[in-house]
Amino acid sequence: MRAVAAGDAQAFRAIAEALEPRLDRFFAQFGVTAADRADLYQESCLRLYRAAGSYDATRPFLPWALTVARRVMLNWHRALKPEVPLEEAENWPAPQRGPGEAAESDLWQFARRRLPAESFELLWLCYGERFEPAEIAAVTGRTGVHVRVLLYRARAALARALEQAGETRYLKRR
Amino acid sequence: MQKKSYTWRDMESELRHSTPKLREANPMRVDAVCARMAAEPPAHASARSPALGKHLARAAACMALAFSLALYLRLTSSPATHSAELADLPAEVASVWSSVKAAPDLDAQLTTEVENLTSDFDKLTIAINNRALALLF
Repeated sequence: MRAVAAGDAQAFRAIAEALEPRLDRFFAQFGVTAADRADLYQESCLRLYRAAGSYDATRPFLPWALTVARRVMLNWHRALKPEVPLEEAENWPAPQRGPGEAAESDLWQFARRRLPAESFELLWLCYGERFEPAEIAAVTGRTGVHVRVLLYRARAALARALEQAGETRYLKRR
Repeated sequence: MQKKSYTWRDMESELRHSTPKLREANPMRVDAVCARMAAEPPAHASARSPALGKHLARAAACMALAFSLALYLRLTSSPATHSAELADLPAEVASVWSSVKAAPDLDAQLTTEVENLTSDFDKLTIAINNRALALLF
């Protein structure tokens, strides 16, 4: 990023290559369609490139990049939110599951269906991206203690959901 | 009570192991991004570091606070003090005080006033002495 900040646009190619699969997986976990994932990836890279001068090289890069990508994704989600007049809300159809969503093939899909988005996001950043609580705090704009508390609650909620569903098939011994 | 068939450690382990693997980068997407970057103006690093920026912002905030405080004190306390001082003085003294305050060379004006006052005190002393001697003789 120092080279990019110094005006070397070609140096950004290596960063873009490294980020592409990671951002794609990150967006996919939060329900972004494949076509939109390409747009969000482009937008995230553009913002990272523009903000290269403000990057603090003493801090890890990936949490910073995911912070930017997360904001881009949240804006996308907000723009997608349907607005229905109150008079028509009663007749609005309930959201239907897509054909690919019929079965929950792994614990992540189970968690995404059962947990609030906030809890799922914290679990993903902790176990999917393998971030430390301090890094999660930087990405989500919370304090480290708050993140630890919310992570504990998210784990408890997932365990409770597994118990209630009587699911043990996701927890196969390795 | 039904015994749990798993522990939190199993759950955490499963979350880690079932994380989708990272695939290879899609070259078309990367090329598209790089093409878009080429159209962008070059990203320049700011001349100062983020830490220096924070210090500068703090210094600017302190200066703004100090300036606001000084302005507030001047606007609220000064006119009241001056008006109270002038109200206690006789009109002639107040006019002299105003002219002295308005004078560009304050030292010269004050020196002149001191000389005038000394002269007046001398005359007054002579007059009192003359009267006192007149009473005695």
